[in-house]
Amino acid sequence: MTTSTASAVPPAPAAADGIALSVEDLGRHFAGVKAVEGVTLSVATGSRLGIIGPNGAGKTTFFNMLSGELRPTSGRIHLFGQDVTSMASHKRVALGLGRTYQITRVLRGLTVLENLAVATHGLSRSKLDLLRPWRGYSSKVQEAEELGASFGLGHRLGAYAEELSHGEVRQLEVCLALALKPKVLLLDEPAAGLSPAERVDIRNLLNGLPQELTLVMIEHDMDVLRGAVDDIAVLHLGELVTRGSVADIQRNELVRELYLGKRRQIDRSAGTEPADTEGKAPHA
Amino acid sequence: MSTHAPETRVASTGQQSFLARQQRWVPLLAALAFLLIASSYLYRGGFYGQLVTQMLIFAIAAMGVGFLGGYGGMVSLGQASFLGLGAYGVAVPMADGTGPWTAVAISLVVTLAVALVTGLLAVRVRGISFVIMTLALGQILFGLASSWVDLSGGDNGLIIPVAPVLGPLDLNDPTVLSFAVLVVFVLAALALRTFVASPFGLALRGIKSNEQRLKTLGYATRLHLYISWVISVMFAGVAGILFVFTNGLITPTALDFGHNGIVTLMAVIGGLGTLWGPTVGAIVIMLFQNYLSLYFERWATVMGIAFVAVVIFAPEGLWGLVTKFARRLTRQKPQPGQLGINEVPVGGSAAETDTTMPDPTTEKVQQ
Repeated sequence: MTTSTASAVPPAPAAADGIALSVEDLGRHFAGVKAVEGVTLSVATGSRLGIIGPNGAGKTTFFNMLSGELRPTSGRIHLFGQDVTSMASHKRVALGLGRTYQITRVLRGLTVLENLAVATHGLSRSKLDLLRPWRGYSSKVQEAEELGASFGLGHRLGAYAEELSHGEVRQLEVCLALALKPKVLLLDEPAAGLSPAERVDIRNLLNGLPQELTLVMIEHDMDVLRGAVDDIAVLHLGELVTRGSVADIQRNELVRELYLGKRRQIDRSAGTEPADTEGKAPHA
Repeated sequence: MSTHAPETRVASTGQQSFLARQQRWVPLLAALAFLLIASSYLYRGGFYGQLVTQMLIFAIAAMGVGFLGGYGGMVSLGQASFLGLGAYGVAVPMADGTGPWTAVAISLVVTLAVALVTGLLAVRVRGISFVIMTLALGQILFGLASSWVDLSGGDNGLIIPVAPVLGPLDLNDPTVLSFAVLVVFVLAALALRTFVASPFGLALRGIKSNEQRLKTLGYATRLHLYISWVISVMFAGVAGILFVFTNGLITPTALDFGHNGIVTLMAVIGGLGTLWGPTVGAIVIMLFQNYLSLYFERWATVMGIAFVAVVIFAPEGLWGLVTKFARRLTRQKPQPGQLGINEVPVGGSAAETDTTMPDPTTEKVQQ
């Protein structure tokens, strides 16, 4: 349903209905190095987009621009039709944008419950309350406890985040983002470094996410992506190479070559016209 | 191993509940004992009464450093200068003939105004830049105190002729004044305790852990740190008001680099990120200053060595050491079986998740 609308309309009009997130000609240069260049794509509300690409493809830089941690050097970002290109991170969060990190950023000096409590206060005025104990906000504490319990951290609420196993940290990372009830969730390699058993947990977690949630997920593991996303965008050297359904991308020769490391010049114009390149490899 | 787990868990749970019950009373008893001992010294007055009074005053200022530094991760090196600001805020109006209560009000307003303005600068920087920034702000205040002679009296400082009278309590009586200091100290400690336990304080600890994460959790972290800065400076200002009344005099020396360092050391040695650390630090350092000098000619060297030892062997500070020890006695160690992310470990997954795996992703440098 979403694949066609999202990728067939090239630079999605910002105010168009049903588009949760859209970027136009987005670029970020680091002292001459083009980390991301001319990326244009849109994500329909409620759809799920996977982003893949070799190391250094600019995936995390792309995310950092979406979440507001990096200012783009070119292009615009729209969130639910609103231009958020120069909006601060915490204000984008208030609009319904949540994210997780590849290099996990849980609050290591706090317990799991405290981590989740910080998150549940994130969008409420109570975060500036200096006088009432945070444990006195029983509804928020309960919310935090339930969230932790629903993702298998119920027995670890009192543990400090730095004592958690790697898999648990990944779970907590996703929990933190979900605590704010985001409408758009950016997941940066949620399964990175996990054991096969822990990957199953993450997949269950992803499958349990609310249906109306718009999801953009960076992930290398096709097994995690399969079933979790509607379509996949491929980044290489900062440019959008192609976009298509999971099956299309798996069949895509160019994508295979990118991952297997065969050197091949990529047509520079490929990134700007994702609809044309869908499913077939552009030739150099 | 799984066969042993239930037994050990039962044993440690029993032990925990017993100690946990004791744990509830220990802080209360310790606080009462502290108040009794402090009161007895204050009541007897004299040299020791004065010493304890000064300890309490510097503890208030160090609490300010501890709040912003220990919970927010931004250690200030200008706290003594803000203490001096509070003191001059009283002394300057009183030198012009203002009544003591009015002078106290003026001092609070001036300190607040300076905190609001300097905060705009201070929260723009982090880490070592923040330390240097606060040091510079402190040096500006020191420079003003020593060179703006018309206002501050220069190196001679300013003398406070009278202390305020609060109903039947005449603070010109040193004993009454000392107990007033104790009351303010208790109020400051309770305020700090309240702040730390609040959602604000929780988020402040979160900022220390990972400021970027707090931003993507909806927090305007700079606003948080700005408010914390103002609170921290106000602690120093209040301490300064008490300082000037108990000493009857304020000179620029109180604002100099050495004093700034001492107040920061109090918070660090006592334990950053702990409620009582700054107080412990103030007591220990002032005891060092007053006692070591009786026995050692090179007392400062001995003090320095002791501090280096604390920083190396107890980076969490003296009070941190105490609480860590107490926690070790009372807290249940996580059982091996509880470490897995699965509620019910399936197959070999329990074994895999038992050991905390080194996180390969943290080794990478994000582009």
